Amino acid sequence: MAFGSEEPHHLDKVRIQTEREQSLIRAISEGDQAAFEQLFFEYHQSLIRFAFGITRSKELSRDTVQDVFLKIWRNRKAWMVNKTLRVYLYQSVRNQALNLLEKQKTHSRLQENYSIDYSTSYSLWEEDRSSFVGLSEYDAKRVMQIWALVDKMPDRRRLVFELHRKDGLSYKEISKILDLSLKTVENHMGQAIKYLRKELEKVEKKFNLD
Amino acid sequence: MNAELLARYLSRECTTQEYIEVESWLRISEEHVEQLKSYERIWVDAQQLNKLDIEFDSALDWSVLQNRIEAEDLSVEEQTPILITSRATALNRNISYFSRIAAILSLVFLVGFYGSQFFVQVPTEQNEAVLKEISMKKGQRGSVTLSDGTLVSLNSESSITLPDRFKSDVREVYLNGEAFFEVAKNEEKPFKIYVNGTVIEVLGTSFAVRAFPDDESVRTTVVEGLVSFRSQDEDISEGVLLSAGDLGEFNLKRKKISKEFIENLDPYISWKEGYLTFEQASMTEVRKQLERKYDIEVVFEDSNIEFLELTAELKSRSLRNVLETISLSLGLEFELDQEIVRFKNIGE
Repeated sequence: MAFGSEEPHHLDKVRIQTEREQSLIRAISEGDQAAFEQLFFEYHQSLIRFAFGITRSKELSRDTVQDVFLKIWRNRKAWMVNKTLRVYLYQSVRNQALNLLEKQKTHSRLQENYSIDYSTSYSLWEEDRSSFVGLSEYDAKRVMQIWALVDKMPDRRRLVFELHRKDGLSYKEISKILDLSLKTVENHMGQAIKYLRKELEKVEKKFNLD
Repeated sequence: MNAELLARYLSRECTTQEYIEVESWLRISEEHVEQLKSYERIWVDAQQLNKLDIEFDSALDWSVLQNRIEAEDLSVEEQTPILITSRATALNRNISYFSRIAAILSLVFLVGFYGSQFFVQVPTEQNEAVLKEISMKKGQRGSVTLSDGTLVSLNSESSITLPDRFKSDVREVYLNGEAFFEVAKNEEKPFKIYVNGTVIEVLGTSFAVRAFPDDESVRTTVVEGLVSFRSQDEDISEGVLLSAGDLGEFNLKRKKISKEFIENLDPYISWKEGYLTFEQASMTEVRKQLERKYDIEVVFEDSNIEFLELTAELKSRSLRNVLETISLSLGLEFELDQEIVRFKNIGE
């Protein structure tokens, strides 16, 4: 660790498994279908968006998350999680997403590439969305701009940034999920914010927001 | 003061020592505080990324998962056509877990739409006959590259349905709504688009097709190349051959096909570039397009407004500007409140 030897203030934020998580896992391993459904709906949106961040394909993202849950159910009797549930799930999704991407590359000749080109859709047509629930038009524009910029970041950095800002994961959790050193994660976050600030200043100088 | 440390400060991931360091750095000058504030703004705004995220249908995927689990438990005897749609009809969350009714409700929904002819063919190919639907909601537009290189741009509220893999002798696609096709040339494999009772056959070309559920006709506009346009109904033998600049129209009521050469294709394809063009279009039509593009509701407070005709090229992407232009040219007033627009005559 690069930091001083004293007790870190907020460092090492690994959430410990709550009692609730523990009982959920236990219930599922005992074959409780309602618990399994609960787990699914609780994590589905975040996990599938994370998968999309990696695969850029809606289809692969859906398959990835389904595969992960299928595996959990299939092996439920012996299912053990010795880390936090979130880290476990995100890690599994990442691994499966990469697996499916690999598979797709080898079968790729006729493989359809129909993932909606995310960066294109948003950077060209971003202003189609002129109203958002709870956001003023000005704010919505800003968020769109940030979105388009985040999309242009190199993959790892983007994933780190998204996991932190969108999914609220700690640096430590992110390092475990993406298999990076803590230092690298910190570095990515610093770069990300530097880049965003620079680019946003440019945009603001150029245009007056309508 | 490096960005990394500030990022850690904002994320509350720094040590106590570092926290103190940043606080004292802030006390040094107002400029430092401004710098932090600008970072903080980005920090907070970025959290809103969730509001813009791609939508996935959890209920649908839960259903699919259950079916997969069930399929593992039973042995599946024969391949059946499975439809995976990205916009499903509402699925009951309380579906009993391992229900023996293989409930893929969306299959029924789609058969109603496109008629039975497609599904009568039992798939003879080795591969699973998996159909997929790519759809755009109101306010969304997107493009898709198919496995043969064809580029399809979909307008709002539109969708195409096609097999996972094209057959060996033909490329078939079903369209609902509006799309612009740039079809990759392949002389050995004609590209066919089935839309609302008509079929458009293409060798390699770019053109637009429009058939929304509330339209009275199917329209095909050709930008480049050659396209044949006819009814799927075998009793109607006439078809037309369309080349660049032609507009083919199949009137659904009268079941008649016609063709005309038009000078200005813009009203038919400008949606692809993100703007709207109208040439003596009735306000009813204008309303439809506004609602579709911006995902809003448009209300005419005075009934005469429906009969006004608009000729305008609306290149601004801001809804407000568009409404202002329309109002100005037709002598109207408008009110925009949340997602509802009200047009009325001036002075009322």
